[in-house]
Amino acid sequence: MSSSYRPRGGFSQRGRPRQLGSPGPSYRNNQTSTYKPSSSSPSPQSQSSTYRPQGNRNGYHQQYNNRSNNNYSNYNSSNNNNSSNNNQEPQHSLWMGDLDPQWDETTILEIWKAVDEQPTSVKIKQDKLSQKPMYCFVSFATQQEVEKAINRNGLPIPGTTKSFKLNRASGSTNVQSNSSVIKRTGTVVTPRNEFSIFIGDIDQSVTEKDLFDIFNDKYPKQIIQVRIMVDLVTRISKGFGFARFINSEVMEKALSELNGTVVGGRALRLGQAANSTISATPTAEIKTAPGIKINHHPQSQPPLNQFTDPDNTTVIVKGLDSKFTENEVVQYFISYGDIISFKMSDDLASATIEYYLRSSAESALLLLNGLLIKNRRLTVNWGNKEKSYKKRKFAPLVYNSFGATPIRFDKTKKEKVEASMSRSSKSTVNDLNSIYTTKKLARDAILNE
Amino acid sequence: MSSSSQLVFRSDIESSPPAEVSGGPGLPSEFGRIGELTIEARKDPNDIRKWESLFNELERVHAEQSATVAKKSTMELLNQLTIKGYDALLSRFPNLSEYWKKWSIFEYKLRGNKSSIEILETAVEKVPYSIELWQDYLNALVLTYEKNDDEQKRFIRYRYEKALRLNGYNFNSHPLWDRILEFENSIEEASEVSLKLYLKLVRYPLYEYARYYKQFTNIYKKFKIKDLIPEKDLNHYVSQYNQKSYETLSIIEKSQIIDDYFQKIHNNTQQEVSSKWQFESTLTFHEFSLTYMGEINAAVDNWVNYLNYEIKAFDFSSKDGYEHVVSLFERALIPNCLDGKIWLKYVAFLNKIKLAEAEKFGLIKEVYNRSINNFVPLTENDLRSFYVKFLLKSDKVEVANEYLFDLIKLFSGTKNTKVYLKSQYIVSIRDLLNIWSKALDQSEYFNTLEKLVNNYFTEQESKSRKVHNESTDVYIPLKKGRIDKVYLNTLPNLLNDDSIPVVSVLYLQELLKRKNFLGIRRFFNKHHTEEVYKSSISFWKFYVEFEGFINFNITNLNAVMKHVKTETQLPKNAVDALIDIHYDIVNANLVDLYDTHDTSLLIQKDLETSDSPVQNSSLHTRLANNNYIIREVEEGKGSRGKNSASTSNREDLILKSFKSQNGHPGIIIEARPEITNRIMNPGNWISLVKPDVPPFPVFKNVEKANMPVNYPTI
Repeated sequence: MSSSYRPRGGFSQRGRPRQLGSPGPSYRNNQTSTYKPSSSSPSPQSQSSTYRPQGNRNGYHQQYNNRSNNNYSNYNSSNNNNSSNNNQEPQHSLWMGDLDPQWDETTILEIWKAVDEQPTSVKIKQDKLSQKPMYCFVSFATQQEVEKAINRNGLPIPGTTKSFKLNRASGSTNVQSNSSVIKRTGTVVTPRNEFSIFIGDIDQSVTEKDLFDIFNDKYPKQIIQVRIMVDLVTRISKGFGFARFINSEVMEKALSELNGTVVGGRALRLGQAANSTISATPTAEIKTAPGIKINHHPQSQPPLNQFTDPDNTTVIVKGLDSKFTENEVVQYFISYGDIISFKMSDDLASATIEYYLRSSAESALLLLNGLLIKNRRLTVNWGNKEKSYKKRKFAPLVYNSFGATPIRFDKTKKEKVEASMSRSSKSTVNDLNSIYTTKKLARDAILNE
Repeated sequence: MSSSSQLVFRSDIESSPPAEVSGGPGLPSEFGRIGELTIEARKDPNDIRKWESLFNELERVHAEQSATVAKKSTMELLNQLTIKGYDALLSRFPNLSEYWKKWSIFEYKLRGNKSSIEILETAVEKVPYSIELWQDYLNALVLTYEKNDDEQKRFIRYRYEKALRLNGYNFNSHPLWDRILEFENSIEEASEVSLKLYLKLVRYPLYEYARYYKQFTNIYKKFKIKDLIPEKDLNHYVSQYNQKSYETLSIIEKSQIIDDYFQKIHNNTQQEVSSKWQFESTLTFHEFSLTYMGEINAAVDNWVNYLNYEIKAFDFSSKDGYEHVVSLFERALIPNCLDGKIWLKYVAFLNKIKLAEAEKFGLIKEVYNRSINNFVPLTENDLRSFYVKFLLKSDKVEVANEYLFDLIKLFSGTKNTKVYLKSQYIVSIRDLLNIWSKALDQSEYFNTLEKLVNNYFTEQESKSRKVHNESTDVYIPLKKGRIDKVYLNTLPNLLNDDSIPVVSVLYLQELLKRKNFLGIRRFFNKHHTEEVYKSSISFWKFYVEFEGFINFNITNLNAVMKHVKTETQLPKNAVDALIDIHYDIVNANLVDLYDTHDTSLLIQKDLETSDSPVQNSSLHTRLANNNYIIREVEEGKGSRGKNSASTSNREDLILKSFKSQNGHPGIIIEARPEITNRIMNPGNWISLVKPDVPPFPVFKNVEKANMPVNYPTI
């Protein structure tokens, strides 16, 4: 492939001496300015990079010769670029919307500097009618910086109430690594919004940012943009929109996983956008008849919280007082299963109980909430995620109670717990007899308080 | 730290923190944050960091004030605050020897030598088994005494003899010995006094035993042989040398004898040291510390092992040398002073020694007093119960009675005390009634119990009624000891809802002893619905056993069990246990019961003990009867006049509530999508013969499926 470009490399060698008057530039950044045929004045980013100090000319030539082969592909893509958008937006730039009307180009530059990005220039495009700035293009020295900057999409702008609303400038999209690969291998150039999905049933109150956050939470940094269509006259949401992803995998995941997500009280309806491509994934579709395909997407579930998380086996009981001893409270709760830990608060008004199994906690919660004991009203609730429970590292080994009666792990010797856990499924008559005896003994222990 | 925050001491519940001097706002500005820090430390007296910052601040202010020319009154107030601060901390945790030292240093800066020594003197009185404090104290004494003052010399000797008596046998007591030997040597090299010290020292298994032996070998030749070796041993040597008397021995022979004698002693000591070393080396904490409570508790086994070893090695047939074991116990009780188990071990050891009864009693009582009053937190029951037993065993019924009464008052949370310690209170009530059952005449005991129980309920009915109307005779005839009638009359005031079931069960047991079955059943009929019995396991257990085992009456048993299953507030495992007993009884007597009685329990036992509120109907009835949420709903409905409260209504309500939480307990979802014309429902069944097509399903609540979930607010 590279062989066909060799002559151009030769040309570049010949072109080089024209710039000998200036200090030796670094090759990688230099190429755009050097080979842009139509650039009468050097673009800002090339200027800044041109004056990067370099050792000496010999060193430069050596470096250049060593690296020339590797850089043809880059050269190629930039060359293609120039043909498509030579007058619209500058190289390595991104689109920035939702601007404050007060801002001018320097303000925007300041904003970017404040967040530690170094854009080379900002160009505000005026709205034809109102003369207010609607959007601008922000240029960067390199594509890497663009990629870095675009990650700020959706983040708040420091010192203002607004958030960054960023997008790739249409001209620089094809510099993305994956699409440039496609180009290099010579495949057909795909349409721009290749991996988009349609979003229907959007509530009026839902904003683009809300949707973006939902997608971005689930697939961080893999969503490019969310658009909600608005009526041009009334500026009211039409109730549908589109979301664009970086590749088809994410798109399909989103289609199946987020369909039916409830936002603003309504369930989203997701579908494939008309012009998006879908890679061959036969599992997701069922061919009923030629030409008709139905995608089956499971409905998404709401995110887990302390009430619904199956890892939460902790319940908190409130409404106790000094009329209850620790042992008494434990009696009420241990009836429903093995307890890992039991802790009473210092003022004896509440207790935190961690069960071994979720099912035990569910029973306790269901049956003990609202109980009236000794004229005290107990309330039982799920433990709080931040404070009282953590995600289990592994699932319970056994899904039934270990002992003849439920036990408290924190008050039982480790060996005893282990012994009861390792009880084999084959029981001899003696085993059964001993289980029977322990049950009766446990019964007496309960009744003797 | 976490364990120390749960320590409760007598002072916590008896007195509120003294507000006058410690109060913050009254202090002048030059006192910095002293007032504020004092209050904080008092509020949370188990947190050593708060005390630490208080003392630092005191010191800082003191340095500041003494740099400038401070007013006399300011300094005096400062002194007072310091004393109060240290006093408060050290009366709570006397074993914090570090703080005694700090105090004495602070005192020295504040007022000089004399008062600093006074502090140390109190310290060694309060913590007599601390080598560090004794060392500091003796140091201070020696540094200040006048060389030619015989009176003072005698005083120092008197003090160090006490120190040695208590701590001389301590494995790590070498700093103390060093200090004393140095003092004696400064008076006179190789004196009679130091000989006496060395003679003891070479026999004691101490960490630095070898050094002392070496020191001694350097000087022992200066003494006469008869002073060095006891006559018995000396005679033995003399006979070996075929002499009549030691006076005729040659100098070389004498020297040989001395060398040989002490070499043997040394070997013996060496052996003892090495056998102790395996335990000594495991001991990591020798001092009490609040910061390392967790570590100290974790290391307690090492002490226990050591103690066990020493106790095993001790010869109980004679009392000789028991002080050495006592010394070890006292050492163990410095870091572990809050641990009731070691105190009990100590008592058990003392109890086994062959001593005169009176002496032993004195010793043990002293240990109990020290542990109960100064160290072991109130939350430990065992030690206090054992103390009562000990008193009873020694025929001190009155003392025990008085002691328990005091405890009950303390725990009950009624009088001046702020905290109600339930389990301690119940244990004390049990112990007290146990004493009474032994001390009082049978009938008197029975009458007392009866009065207690009956008074309790009648008093609740009419609070105005006077209880104590008979106080003519002061003493009641007793089997042994005497219990003042005053106690019998005050106890009713100290009973509460938690203790009355205990008293009741004791009363019922007395009735049972008298075979008064009618009385037992009458009591049941009269009181079984009382609120206080609803959550008392022992009360219901008594009746189940009474009807089931003693008075075998299955009809009554069924009735009692029905009440237990549907009305009480017992924990589920207790109800299940009672059902199990019931089941066993029915099962064992099936032949007699089969035709005549309700034996459905045979089939229903598993249902009745199930956790499912739907299948276990007695469970949901019981829960419905004791659920305030249901009651509130019911009352709300009742007031609107829809229908009166009935049990079945309650059950419906609770089942509805369970249904709305089905699959997601805690989250109530009222409306779920449903098919209203389900073909499963009767009347909707489809005939397979007729060609009719069943109607399409009709749904309800479909639109509510997407409603946001209402999570309860916590």
